[in-house]
Amino acid sequence: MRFPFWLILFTLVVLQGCTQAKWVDRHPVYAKGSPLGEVGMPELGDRWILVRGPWFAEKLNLSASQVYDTMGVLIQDAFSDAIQSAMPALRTISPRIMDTLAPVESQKMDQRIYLKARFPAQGQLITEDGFAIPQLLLIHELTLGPDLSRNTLYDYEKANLDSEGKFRKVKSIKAIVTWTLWDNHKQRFLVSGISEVSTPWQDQVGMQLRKQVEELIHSLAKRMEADLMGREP
Amino acid sequence: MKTSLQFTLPWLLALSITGFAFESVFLQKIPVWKKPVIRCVHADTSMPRVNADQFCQALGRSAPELGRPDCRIEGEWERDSLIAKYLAWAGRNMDPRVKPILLSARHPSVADRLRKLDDDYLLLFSRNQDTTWVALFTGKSTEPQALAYQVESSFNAEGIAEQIGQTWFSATPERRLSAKEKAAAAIEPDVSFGETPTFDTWISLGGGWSQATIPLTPTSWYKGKKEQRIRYYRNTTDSLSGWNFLEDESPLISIRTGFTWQGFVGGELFALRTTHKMKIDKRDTIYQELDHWDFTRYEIGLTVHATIRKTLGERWETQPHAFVGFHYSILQEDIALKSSVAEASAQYRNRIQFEPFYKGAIFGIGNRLVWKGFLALETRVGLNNRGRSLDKEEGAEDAAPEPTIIAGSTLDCFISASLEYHWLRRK
Repeated sequence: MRFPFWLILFTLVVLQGCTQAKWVDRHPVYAKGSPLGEVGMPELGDRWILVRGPWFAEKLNLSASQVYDTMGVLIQDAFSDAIQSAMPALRTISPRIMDTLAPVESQKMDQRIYLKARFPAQGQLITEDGFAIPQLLLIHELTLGPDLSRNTLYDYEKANLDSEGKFRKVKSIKAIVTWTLWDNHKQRFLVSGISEVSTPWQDQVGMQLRKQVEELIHSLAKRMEADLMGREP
Repeated sequence: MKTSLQFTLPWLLALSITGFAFESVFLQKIPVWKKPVIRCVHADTSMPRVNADQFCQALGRSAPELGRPDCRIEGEWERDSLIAKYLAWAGRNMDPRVKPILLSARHPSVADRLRKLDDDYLLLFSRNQDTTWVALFTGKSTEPQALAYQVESSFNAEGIAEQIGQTWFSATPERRLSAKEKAAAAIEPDVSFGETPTFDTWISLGGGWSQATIPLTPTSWYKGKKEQRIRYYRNTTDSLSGWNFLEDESPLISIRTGFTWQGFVGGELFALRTTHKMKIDKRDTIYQELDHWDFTRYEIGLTVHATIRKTLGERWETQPHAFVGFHYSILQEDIALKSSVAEASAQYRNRIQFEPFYKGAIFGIGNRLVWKGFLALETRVGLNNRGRSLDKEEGAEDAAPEPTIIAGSTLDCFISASLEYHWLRRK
């Protein structure tokens, strides 16, 4: 059979053009599938963002002033539980260490993708009760909201596309987390990533938003752990 | 077995020598200055110290073109706790797999100090067990521009100086500009900058050469046509190509006028003239009556072209271009009998006739070298065909075959050079 050569060439050119965005970046010394050492994770604290709060308020029958408090507690507790079940060996440490880190910096993941993060300064060893944990899992921010996309949040070429769906009917709820596995002894990142998960939403009686958000955050933790270890969830 | 040893032994020897060699991890483009200022720092206080004088002498020995380098130990940097912290960090993170950006300084004030290095070189030494690391910072970057290591049981700064001289500073050094000269260079007009003319028109007169043999093609393609001779004013075994009748090699004269719009596309009107002798077979006695029999070929047509402009300094500009077009080709006969011949033979009166005109296609590539925007030397090469297409036409089986058109497909190639005068319109 004669294969149309130009078709193969064309496909290759097209594939070359749509190279995938890089959502996980690894330090060259830290290969895919390297085993985790002893890892500590500062608690999520207030590093969460709720997008379209009024929509959540309406669905949960809360007032606009209550929704952030309620959802904050929900997100923090759910994430803490989810991490414990996804990574049981993880040691949770106080979120206070986040205040001692260097100011916000940009971490380049890709030609177009940057994440904003606070890292320990070069030469700054993070200790708790006099003990320096070899690796830290830093959660930079957790974003929750209807119909989000990590493209519009972190890819600066697509960031301007966000406005079009502002008043659209909600189809899904999404959670996005940006994180870094940090080498505490050498003060360098080992893996950085932006993980996202979503769950479909329909305006029906019986759809339990609260439960759905909890499940979403559990699957987000699983996805993050898979991205960190470099495998499919 | 013996042969394999013969091959492996030298390699093993080479390996054992290069085992202590200076291994480069990365090397970006480093400007090399005459009489460089080299500032040395150590990653930590416990490591052996560099002797600045000996380091400079070793560097001067291995790269004499540098002039006299000025080396010093930057004690002030090492005493500044912020910078010292960064230097120690960088020393800890040096690794054969590392990239420059992964060693960049993050703290704003450290980054600021590195950016102010400008033309000076900062060498950062670090020692980790048996490995000595050296990183080089220069310019306005916060990342190291080069990183290398050497495995040796003792710290040997002079050895490293020699290696650096041969690798990082091997380019021909340039003179450092003073602050005043730098300020002047920053506002100097860019000679490569010029506005693209909206419309460029020209007339051109040129000459060249045209022949049937296309270079780099087998001679067997042309052998039959070129050896062909005309018998009795009209007979050849094949009449499809004009080169069965005409001598193909001829000087070429061209007149052109054309335009380029916005510096990238345009058109051209051209006229070409070549002269060709008929290839008569001298063995035929009938030709004794003939004085001469030549054809002059005129070709008039249009081409379209695409070009790009590239400036070469202040006065010169180059414009490579590609063109394609069509033309009408006319063969004008020039024949005469000897004055002593009273009456022409019947063969003479029934000699072959070419078509009144042929349609043809032309394409090629060229380059225009323009001086001061108005005078240009243009050279081009290309292929030039005339005749009708040779596709077989589907017809009824009993249809009579179409008669062959004489010179129905004639191909040649050409090379020409011409002088052009340009008028530019800039808006």
